[in-house]
Amino acid sequence: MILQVIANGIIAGCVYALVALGFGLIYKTTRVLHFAHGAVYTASAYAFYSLSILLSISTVISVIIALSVGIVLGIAVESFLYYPLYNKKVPFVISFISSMGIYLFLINLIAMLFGNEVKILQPGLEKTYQFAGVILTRTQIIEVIVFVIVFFGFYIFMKKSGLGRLIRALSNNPELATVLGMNVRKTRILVFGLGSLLASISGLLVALDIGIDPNIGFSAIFVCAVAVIIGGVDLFEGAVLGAFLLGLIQNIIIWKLSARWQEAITFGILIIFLLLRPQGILSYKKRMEEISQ
Amino acid sequence: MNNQKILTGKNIVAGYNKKMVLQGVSFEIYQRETVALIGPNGAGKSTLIKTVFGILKPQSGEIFFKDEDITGRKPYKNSRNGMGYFIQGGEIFSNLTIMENLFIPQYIDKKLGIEKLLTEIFALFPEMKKFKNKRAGVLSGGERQMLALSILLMKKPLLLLLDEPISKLAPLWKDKFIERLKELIANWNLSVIFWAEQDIPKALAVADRVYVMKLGKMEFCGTPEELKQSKKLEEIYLK
Amino acid sequence: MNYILHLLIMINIYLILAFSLNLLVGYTGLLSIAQAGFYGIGAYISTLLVMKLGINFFIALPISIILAMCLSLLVSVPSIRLKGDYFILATLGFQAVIYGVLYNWVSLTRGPYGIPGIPRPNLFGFEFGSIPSYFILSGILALLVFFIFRRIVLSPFGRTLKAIREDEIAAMGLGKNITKFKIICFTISAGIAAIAGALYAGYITYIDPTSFTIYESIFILSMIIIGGTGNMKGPVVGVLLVILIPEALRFLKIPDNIAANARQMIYGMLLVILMYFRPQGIAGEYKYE
Repeated sequence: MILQVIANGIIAGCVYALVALGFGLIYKTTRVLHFAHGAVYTASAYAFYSLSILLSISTVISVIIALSVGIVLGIAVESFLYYPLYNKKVPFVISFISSMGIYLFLINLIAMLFGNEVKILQPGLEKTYQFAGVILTRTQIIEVIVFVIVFFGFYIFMKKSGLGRLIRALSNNPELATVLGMNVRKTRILVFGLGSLLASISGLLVALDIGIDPNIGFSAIFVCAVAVIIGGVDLFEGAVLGAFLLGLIQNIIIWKLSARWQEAITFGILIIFLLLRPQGILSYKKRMEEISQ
Repeated sequence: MNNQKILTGKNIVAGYNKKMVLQGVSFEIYQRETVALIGPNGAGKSTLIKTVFGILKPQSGEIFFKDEDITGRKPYKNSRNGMGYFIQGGEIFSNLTIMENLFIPQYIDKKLGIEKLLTEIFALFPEMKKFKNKRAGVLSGGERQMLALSILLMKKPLLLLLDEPISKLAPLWKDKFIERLKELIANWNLSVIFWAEQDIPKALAVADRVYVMKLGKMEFCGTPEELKQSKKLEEIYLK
Repeated sequence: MNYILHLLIMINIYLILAFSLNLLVGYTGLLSIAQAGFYGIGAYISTLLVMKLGINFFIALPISIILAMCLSLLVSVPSIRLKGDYFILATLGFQAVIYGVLYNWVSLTRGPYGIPGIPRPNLFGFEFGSIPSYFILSGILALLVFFIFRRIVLSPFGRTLKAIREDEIAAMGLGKNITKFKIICFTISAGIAAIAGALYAGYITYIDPTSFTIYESIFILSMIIIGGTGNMKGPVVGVLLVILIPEALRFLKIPDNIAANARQMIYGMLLVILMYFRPQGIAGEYKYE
């Protein structure tokens, strides 16, 4: 039984990790708390729903278009909201409020167009597979595979490619990057495109697995926030670790206690982290100055 | 040193918010020249360098780089155009390795072509060789400055603007840095302008010419020899 | 007429919430999106005290305030030292968690079923059953909060908060224990929000967790951001504007089922536009520097 719980936790973690990674990437590189990340996540899920269910377009094409919708939306928010504010050198709070505003706008637009009720994309029971004593649905297996492929792709891109190094450089020292002549605008767009792609992939997986409603974006943002706090934001990997821990903890709580206690225990863990290690698990100690005062 | 001017400033008035620090300064830098800006606190040395690079926009006056009017041009444009700005304290990318740090200018602008450059840089700063693949965050202050300078050199700049490169270093490193600066100037084809408030003798040892500033104005211009003979320094610092 | 009074009651309730958040955001510079959590805590605690323990509303009210203030320490103490964006993330986390507890602790709160049949407040036999009487009750409490707020803001404590907002390092230099001030401020803010919660519960006579979600937090925040933070008139302008916009929408005969969404879209757009052109809000002072 414990194996099943751990498996469920890891699978949940896979989906959480993708959206949290996107959020962490954007936050670390641009210092923007991209609340609207949740809107990108929701929008691509709904796009996929519209295309594959309402319009009966093939899954592959639906996926491609839905992901593109997410990427374009994320880049649009950066170009029209955050970048103009960045040029005005506003305090981060203002970008955050703006992000909240566009999130409200987009989510309610979606609700207006599609309704507030939950929509299931794969009704009925799914085929399950047994694997080392653990039962997994087909969608869950897809989630794990997608995560592994995407994460490794992301990791290699970040560590080895020129663009990846530019992004990491920008995250580390924006002043120096500008002084060296980096095209900050283009790099930011790349970051938002990449981050939004991750959110969109996650959104699609959740759409297939559980279903969609206009509020899934907020759950996603909650996950991102907790993952970043637990895992730390110094390295992109931090958000991933935080996401898996969250997934595991949630599933263990549901198993050992009940769903009722999920929030209270997450609360307790958040408090413990904030009290003892506010910089997160994977951060370098000296970064303490960056987040506390 | 031929007489081609690489940088000219005419009557620059510039400063921060409402306070204009520079009260109308003019200067010129020639190719392959090293110029030092010295003067007491508040003279405008850092302001001048920042205004040339574009970090500050001058209220009035003109700046010419390679005979082109670059007044008020943004830093990243100047950077792409052949200016290398050394941030005070020596900034590097602490999460990247030394090699990755050095390659950043290449990733920014792929036309650079840098294999030979690398050899020259490691010849100049052999200490960095043993850290090649280590995270730059582990470097000490002096090593950091060397790396910071190296990254700039990887852009093959025509003009180096060094914002107070000496004073923040530990004493041992100050001499080392000056050494390398001398070597750099001798072997590379570039102009350097830097400022210093302390360590004046070290600054004078490296410079071909020196400008002395006080309260936003140029008070003296000439070679270090001429400066010593004019006793202008005592005048400026002691008044 | 009753409908206008109803609007005014809601305006009073939101004025209390707006002042509570303004103390935090506009005077101390702490952006929190957990206010609905304390609003909800106030509503649930006072309701449970009245219905399960039979305590009179007017005694339950101060108890709820105190309990909400104590609970708020669980949020503020771990988070208060975090820098701006981390603090916001923390409040986001806590808001979701508070909601989750309200939703899932079914044995205590009845979760999604909510608590119906909440009695109207009763003072020495007089029941505030009619809408006009509730309007007077809510009005008195709102005025009370306004005057408390004013006293706080004009006191030395309030001036210290402003100093912290303007330049925290300088304030530290004056020897003030910044953390203590921030925590006290957060606590007061939570307590005032709880008043609004109790008032809301007593008025609507039914509460469920869906009134206290992150969207409600954002809504309260929007009110003071749109109206303006950092002074006394901003929140008032914000509350009036935000409560009255939907009424204006009614005249445009927008169907009810999308009216709620349309309203939120307008608030969202207002936030975006204001942040670019006028971050201090319509009547406010503080630009989040």
